[in-house]
Amino acid sequence: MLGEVAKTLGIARCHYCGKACQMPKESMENAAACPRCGSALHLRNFNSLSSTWALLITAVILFVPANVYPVMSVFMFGNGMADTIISGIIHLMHAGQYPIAILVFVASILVPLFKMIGLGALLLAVQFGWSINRRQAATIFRIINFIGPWSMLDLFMISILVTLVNLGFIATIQTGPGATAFAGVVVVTMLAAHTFDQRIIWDLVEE
Amino acid sequence: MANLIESELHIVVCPDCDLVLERHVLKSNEVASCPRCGAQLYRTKPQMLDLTLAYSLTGLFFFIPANTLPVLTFSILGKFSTNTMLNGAEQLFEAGYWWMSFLVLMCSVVVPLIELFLLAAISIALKSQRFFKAAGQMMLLHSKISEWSLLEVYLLGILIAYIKMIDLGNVIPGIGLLCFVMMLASSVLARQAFDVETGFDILEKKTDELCLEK
Repeated sequence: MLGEVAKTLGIARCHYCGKACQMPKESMENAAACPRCGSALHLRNFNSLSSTWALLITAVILFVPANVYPVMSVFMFGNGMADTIISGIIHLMHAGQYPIAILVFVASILVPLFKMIGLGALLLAVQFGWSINRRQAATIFRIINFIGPWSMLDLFMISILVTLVNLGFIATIQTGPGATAFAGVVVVTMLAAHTFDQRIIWDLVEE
Repeated sequence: MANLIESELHIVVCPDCDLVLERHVLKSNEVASCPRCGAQLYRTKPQMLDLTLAYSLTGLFFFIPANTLPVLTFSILGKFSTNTMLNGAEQLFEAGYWWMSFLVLMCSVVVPLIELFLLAAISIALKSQRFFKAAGQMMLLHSKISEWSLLEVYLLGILIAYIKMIDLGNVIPGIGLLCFVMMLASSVLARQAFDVETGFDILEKKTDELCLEK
């Protein structure tokens, strides 16, 4: 029994309390509850692939308005200037603030792109049963999970700036519609990483 | 398969790759990891309940000042405005960005508060050997919400806002920032001190003992 895959033995690990539970014979797929904490048991998450696909596609669609519309407008002495994510980064670079420009670029552009491309590649591999280096794939998924929340950085910064710089005619900072779409991208990609069942990576054939 | 129930206690299933492995007894502070995928399987947590309780109560102590006192103050030409954790979300809501306001409020105020409260309540319940049912439910709720507590990301947001505004005017860090950092540090420590599976192990052991006594 040791060294085998739990699914083939009809054993499911409870997602919340970690108990290894024997699934009842008549309900091998679903509809069993953990005897210790009462959570639903699954050998593999129900509809993991299609839910993750749906959320991933939503994220890709939302990523377009997030980059086209301004996320933030700065008004100084009556003169307004709206910035999209990319133009904001370019302005930071012109102002010589390279470290922050790089940080914002990583958090708002690289991280969401890496998440979407990485999850897309994993989904394709599972969907078509490609033989992959499973340890590498698992590492990619762990990175996606770890970096996910850090793209909230820009949104928190905007929420701080709108109250911090609130001086009427002299200086005001306002939010733009792009920020709403970007918030959607962050949340939806986090949910997508959550619905993806990483155990299906290990059900694939090793390269 | 018949002997599975007896051996259930001695096996552990890898959460990431679903491999069935033998459960060993660990020395204190040791971590067992999966030989196939490297995931963390289980660990021992000496003084888990005491440490979790201490850190989460410290975090709760700093919660109200961290959220209501000024984090940063910006001044230019003699006029100034301040930012607190709460009025950021409030301002977004007033500007009609209710979705962003909701998200910022959840990830930087509501979920961190619930998390600290749950960790404190769980350790009290398990220590006092009462409210077992509630303790189980609180542990489930905690593992469902804790990934949405994003205080450390918020701290980086404060830092970037500070550096960005320093060229335009005068930015002064306030006492709220100090309280926020203290709250962040204690909530990270509390989260690390606590392990939900060890929590359920303790719960299971104590319920079994109670059943035997009756």
